[in-house]
Amino acid sequence: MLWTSAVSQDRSRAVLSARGIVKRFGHVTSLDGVDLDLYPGEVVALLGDNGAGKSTLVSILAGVNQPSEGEIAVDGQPTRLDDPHRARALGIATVFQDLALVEERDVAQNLFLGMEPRVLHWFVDRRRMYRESRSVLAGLKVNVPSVHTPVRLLSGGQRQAVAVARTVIRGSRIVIMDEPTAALGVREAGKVLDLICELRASGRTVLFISHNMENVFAVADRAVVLRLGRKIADRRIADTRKEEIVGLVVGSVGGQEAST
Amino acid sequence: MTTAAFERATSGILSGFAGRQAAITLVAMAIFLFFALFAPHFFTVATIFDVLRTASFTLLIGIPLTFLIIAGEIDLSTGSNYGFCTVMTAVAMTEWGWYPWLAGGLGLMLGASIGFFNGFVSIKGKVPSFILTLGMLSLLRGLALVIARGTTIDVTDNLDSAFFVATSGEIFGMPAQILWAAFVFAIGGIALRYSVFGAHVYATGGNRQAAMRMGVKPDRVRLIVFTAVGLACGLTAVITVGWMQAGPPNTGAGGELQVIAAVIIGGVALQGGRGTVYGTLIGALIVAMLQTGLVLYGVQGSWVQFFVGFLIVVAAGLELQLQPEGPVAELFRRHLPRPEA
Repeated sequence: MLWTSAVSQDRSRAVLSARGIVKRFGHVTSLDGVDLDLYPGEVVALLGDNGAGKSTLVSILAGVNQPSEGEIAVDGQPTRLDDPHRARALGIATVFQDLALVEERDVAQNLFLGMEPRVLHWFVDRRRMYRESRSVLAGLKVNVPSVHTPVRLLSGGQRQAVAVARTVIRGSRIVIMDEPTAALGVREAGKVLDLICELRASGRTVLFISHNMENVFAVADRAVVLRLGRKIADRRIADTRKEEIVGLVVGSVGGQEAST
Repeated sequence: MTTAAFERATSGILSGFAGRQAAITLVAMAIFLFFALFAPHFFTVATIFDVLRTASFTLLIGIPLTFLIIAGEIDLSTGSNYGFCTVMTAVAMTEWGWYPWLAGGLGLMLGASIGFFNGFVSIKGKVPSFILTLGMLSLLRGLALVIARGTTIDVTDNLDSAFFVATSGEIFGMPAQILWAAFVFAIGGIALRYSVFGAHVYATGGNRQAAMRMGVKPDRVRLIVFTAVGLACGLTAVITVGWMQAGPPNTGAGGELQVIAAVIIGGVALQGGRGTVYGTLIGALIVAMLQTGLVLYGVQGSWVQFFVGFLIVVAAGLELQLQPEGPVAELFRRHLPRPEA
């Protein structure tokens, strides 16, 4: 299989590779030498207790924060993610929990916010915008009442879907999601998980933070566990059990891959 | 009928009946009908042109102000900016002996500069535009009074200039002021609804953080719109000087409230992100009809202010009820026949 094991894969195939990432905020070391490889077409769950460093790691991959030490390579090329624009240009898209949607604007207007298709230079090519919005949502099997619906009338899962579809329009290859199912009911969460599978099927890589073991075991190919700023486990989902991951997260099971 | 088809149909009905635009249009039509029937001399060509002219002055500033409020900012100094530019344009024509066109250019420049200043200070200096422009409201009015020495400046020279045709003449029987307002309305309406810039204005006021993350430049958008509001004040001033052939220093005093009233009645949300140029047109017409119609109806002048204020209170109070997911729409949903399951 394509996304069987992180360990057995050839590292040069990684779409994103982070080595020895350290992040210090003053005297606090938030990340302490974390390695992470992401491969095309895999879903990776990022787990850990509060303060484990998940959000810090995500913010570094998103280009929001800079690592104090360590190297990041995209497609094998060493690079610096100096700001979110740089990260986006390299195809790394992050969907934060606030989703960054404009409530009063409709689905299509949100999908194309900041990169509206134009006619006559000054004007929005509305026909193209609505047509492409429909086709992107259909491609991801997302159901919204209509691309003309204001976002404020959408459910939590639909909003999440719009935020994710927007990254697809912007050419994302890696989609990072911060607790995408946290605020959702079971049914809605299920739709977001389906969406993650659609992203994988399209060859994209998904890295998502989650506390929900059901969700992790439902869609992830791999689970990466952080504890106190170190990566303590990187497991194929097929080779582990919920109990083990829970134990790794809360600290009752010792990690075998203490950071180098 | 399938459920989907039914929902499409009802949502069409709902947006038709409960939509903010439709509601305000109905109110405007009702007011017009009332005055046409009960206010003597209201339904005459002269009065209607009068109403349109009053609405035009409101619209000239109200259209760009619509952009500004949608972008999440406010300018309270429009009346004073208008008054200051009126005085300066008149002074340039009379005391400095400038050609009318040149003086007009000065008025536009001054207005735009003041707008730019408001925008620059409130964006770069992070001063809330409400407070900054409240200060400018007083400051500019004071300046206008000082420069005019408290009295009206009469413009008597150069009256044969084409400038006076452009600002106070008639073209195909239409007063120039109305044509200017129609021009600004057309440009504004098209820009807000169809242009990329318009989309960015909505995004800036709707969720500035999100807009910025998606590559919109909210500071640039706001600065442009602040400047446009100022430019509109200058334009209105220049038209006023040409029309009245005078520069009274109290021009536009209290006008900022009238303009804001029209914009709010027209359905622009003060918190930003929502509103249309069409709504502002209807709002301006309603305010103008009340001002003229109530007097003709025999209501004492002071009551006009009362009714304009009353309408703002009603509009603000009904705002939440009129939203597509609000109680009015819910009422429709509940009482319309349901399809058989």
